[in-house]
Amino acid sequence: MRYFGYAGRVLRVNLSKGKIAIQELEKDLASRFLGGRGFNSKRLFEEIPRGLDPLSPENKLMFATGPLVGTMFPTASRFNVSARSPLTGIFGDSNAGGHFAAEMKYAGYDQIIIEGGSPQPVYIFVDDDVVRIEDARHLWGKDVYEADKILREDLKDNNVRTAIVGPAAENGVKFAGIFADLMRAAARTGMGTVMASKRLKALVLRGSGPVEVADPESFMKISEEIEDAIYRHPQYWPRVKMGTTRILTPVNEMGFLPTRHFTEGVFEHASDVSGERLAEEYNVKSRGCFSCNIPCSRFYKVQEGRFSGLKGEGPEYEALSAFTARVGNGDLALALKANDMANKLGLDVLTTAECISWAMECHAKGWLSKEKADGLDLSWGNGETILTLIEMIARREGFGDVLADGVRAASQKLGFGEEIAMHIKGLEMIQADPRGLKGYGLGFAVASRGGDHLRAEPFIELSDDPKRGMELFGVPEATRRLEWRGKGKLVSYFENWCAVIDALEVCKNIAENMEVLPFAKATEAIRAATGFDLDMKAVAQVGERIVNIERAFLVREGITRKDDTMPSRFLREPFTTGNSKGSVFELEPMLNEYYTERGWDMHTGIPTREKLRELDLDYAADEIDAP
Amino acid sequence: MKRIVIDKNKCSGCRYCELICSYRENSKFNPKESRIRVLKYNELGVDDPIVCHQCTVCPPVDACPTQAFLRNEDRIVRIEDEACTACYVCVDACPLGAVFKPPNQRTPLVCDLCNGKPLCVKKCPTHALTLSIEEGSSPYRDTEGRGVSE
Repeated sequence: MRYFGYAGRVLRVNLSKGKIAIQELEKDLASRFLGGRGFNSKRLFEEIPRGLDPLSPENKLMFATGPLVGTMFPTASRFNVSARSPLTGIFGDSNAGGHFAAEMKYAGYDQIIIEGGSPQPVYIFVDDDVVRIEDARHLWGKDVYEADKILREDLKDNNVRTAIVGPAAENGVKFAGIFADLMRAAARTGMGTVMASKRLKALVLRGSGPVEVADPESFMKISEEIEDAIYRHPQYWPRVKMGTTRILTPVNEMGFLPTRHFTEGVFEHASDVSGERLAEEYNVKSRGCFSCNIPCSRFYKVQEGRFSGLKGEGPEYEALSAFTARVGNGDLALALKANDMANKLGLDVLTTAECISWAMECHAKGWLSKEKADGLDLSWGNGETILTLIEMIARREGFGDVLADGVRAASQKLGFGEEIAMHIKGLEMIQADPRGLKGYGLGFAVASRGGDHLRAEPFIELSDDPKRGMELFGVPEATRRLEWRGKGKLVSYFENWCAVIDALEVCKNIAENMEVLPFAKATEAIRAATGFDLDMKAVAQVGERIVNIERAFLVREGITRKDDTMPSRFLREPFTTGNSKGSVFELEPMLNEYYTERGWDMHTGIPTREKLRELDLDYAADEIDAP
Repeated sequence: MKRIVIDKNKCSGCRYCELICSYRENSKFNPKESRIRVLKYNELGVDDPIVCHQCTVCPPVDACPTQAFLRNEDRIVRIEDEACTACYVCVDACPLGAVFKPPNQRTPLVCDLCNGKPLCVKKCPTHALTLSIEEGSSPYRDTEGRGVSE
């Protein structure tokens, strides 16, 4: 059939057999799951059996993008990459922006599925209809930057788009990411590790075809409305100047900036490592993703000191605050260096910083001696130790090898520190302490990929404005960060909305954060782009369907209510200082409210048969034997 | 004489210019059908928009074997479809690399300044592209209420 918005094709490359197949995109998949994360989640449920070894060739690595990508719709530039995760053992998924996803569409694909595994290192070059599996022995062992440079030289084209894994992935570090055009990281849940387990060093794209929309005139009108709303937004300039790093200062002021491994919520050196400081001292230029009028990425240069000459893009809030507050380091240039090393070696910055800060807390508690850690000085904020450990983790050397399977595995291997291993379902937590923002916290506890905020991103909670909660959910507390009531409704709503945004592969900054893309406008854009006759209810249902199919995947692996939890520190130990002082996380009542809102079984957290039927997921209900 | 002036230090590399340029052509989005291209050097953080400068001396005009590559009375370059044999000598002749080979064997692409109101200039979020009206005049930006200056 003829598609609008979509490229209309799916590419499957089997690296065991060297087989390449181009298939037509299924209409049913497109209209019910929309794209991107939706496509991947649906196929993972269908094609990845229970209990499969994530590093076996049978695991599948799926890249997918959405129907608005490749057009002028602001921020529609993203892709999801999904597989069973070697880090968590369950549903794995990551998302990145840049220019890679649009090139997928121009080459003619909505989804690229990598199956099997090659006996020797290869890369895949997708040049429109011509797909080649090429020798990559000369790239193996090279860092992300080196490999990118060689690929562009080999192909004699600087305008190809690349997705590359670094040495960390090759060495089997379980939290290695995939790096698109050097600096757009799909870092979470070890998707790079899966890619390298298939001996796939890189996926390189070149496309020359068009992306066509069903109703160009309406589509351009909607896109321009969003574009204008972005320009007029009060956060426009702060975002251009600081990107996501702009929130470090307020997060610290509100008292939930994870400091010294979540032992505190206020960092005394925050003003030395803030987004403002980064912008003033190091930023030289603004950069942006494809088709985005908010150039919120920043290129920095270090002009003096021991890291003089260091340059690169970013960091974003998570990397910046993880390599400063979380590890107790007040040296901004050192954090830039740590981020740069993680990018080149191909590591997830959040998991890396969790492993390091966990070791530091274990040391502070007297559980982990210097000797056990290869003589490293594990006192808080030790810069040398931070940089050395990043390298050792990536190379799986000595104590780095202990940390290279993630914090949950490290605590199990060493036999201590399990209760302070800050992960949920095996995924290390982000840089926000749930005690200081309860809606986010609930989002972490139930997120389908583990301890992460981007499944729900209920940014509205930070407004602390009870009127918004009343208006949207009939519960004024829903939008007050330190209250627990109404958070089940809040999270359920925003999870569905985030799933739609991830399916469209638009940036959450304009949807959940800046709120310039209302649901109704997104629905209009989908209709104008695809020509599908979907109303707001149907679009909302797509989001709910994606959340439920991912939950079904987890349930099939044995995940239930007992796993929707978080480390005990958040449930029992109140903050002693700062503007979230005295607060603990009220998990159980929030879960009750959430499951009720979701139509899931209250005792087990399993989606009911009735709910799955309502979403046309009868097959999933049968597969998990839904109550 | 009108021409597009580039400040590459301001370019964020978003490629709005490529998108709007290709959209003008046939209401489709395809950077490879665009008359402006942003070259990206990610390691250096450089985004380099390439577009015709309307140079006084234009090598492609001299190089074209069929005189298809010519200047209008207002001195804006254009390529005459019927006379063009798609030999792409002009693509190599332009020292700026601002004449582009399209995906199919068709007439090369070069900026025609959108009848004097270039859409890429209008859309550029960072003012990296501006329009200069006369020789020596300061560049201005055709904002029409779009884009924002701080």
